[in-house]
Amino acid sequence: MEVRTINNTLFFAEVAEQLALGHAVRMRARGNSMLPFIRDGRDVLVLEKPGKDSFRRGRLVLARLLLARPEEDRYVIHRVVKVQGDRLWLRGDGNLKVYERCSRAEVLAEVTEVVRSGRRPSVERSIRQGSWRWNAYRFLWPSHPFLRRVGLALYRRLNKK
Amino acid sequence: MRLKEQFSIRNIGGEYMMVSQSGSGLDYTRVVTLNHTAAFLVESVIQKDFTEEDLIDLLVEKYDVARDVAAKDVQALVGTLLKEGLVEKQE
Repeated sequence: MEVRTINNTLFFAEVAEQLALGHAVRMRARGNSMLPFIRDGRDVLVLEKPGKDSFRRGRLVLARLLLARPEEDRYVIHRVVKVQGDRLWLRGDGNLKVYERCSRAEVLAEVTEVVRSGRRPSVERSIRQGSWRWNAYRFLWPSHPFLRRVGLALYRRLNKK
Repeated sequence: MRLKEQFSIRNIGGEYMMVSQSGSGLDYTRVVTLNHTAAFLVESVIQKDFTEEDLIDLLVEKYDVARDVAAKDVQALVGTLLKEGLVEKQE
């Protein structure tokens, strides 16, 4: 089967439309900014329309970061690290010092489930938001940039082929 | 034959995609792109039993093409759908 990538803007417009209709959406994760929890091209994310509880620390959200022109908007799936009224601070688990700031209105979805593939492609493990495995990835992974750097280096060493 | 799962035909940036729908969600991890005619045919038979003849009839009716030309297109489409395991044949 052929693997193709759809332009981000088009894809997320489609996702937003489906979420508005009340559908959940399964998509493949891209990028390394949520390592070690979410792995590029391997893991699958389940997105749902954000609820009141989505805007809390520790939740994973899909945000559309508005830039000068709509076609330049960035889409990120990162963790909420700070909430201040309408403003949210997001940071990818795999990022050291980069934070994104957005408003609640820019949050398109919450990630409610991460389906992690095993070493053999047939083995999958579904990790739901709030489960103990989910919380393990949230609480055992350090927040301090230096510790993260060490953690990521270890992760890469252990996962080298 | 019949489509194995429930599908939704979506037009994303001018391309038709067949997205499988399960329960309350749509699965974009595995989509099949279709051309305009294929999208029309698949959309017409969602949740219906159909034969190759039915598809040929649909094509001839909608696009006013010769029957043997339509038959070739239909065979190619059905072949692909079977190969990808998207339709199942019933006896």
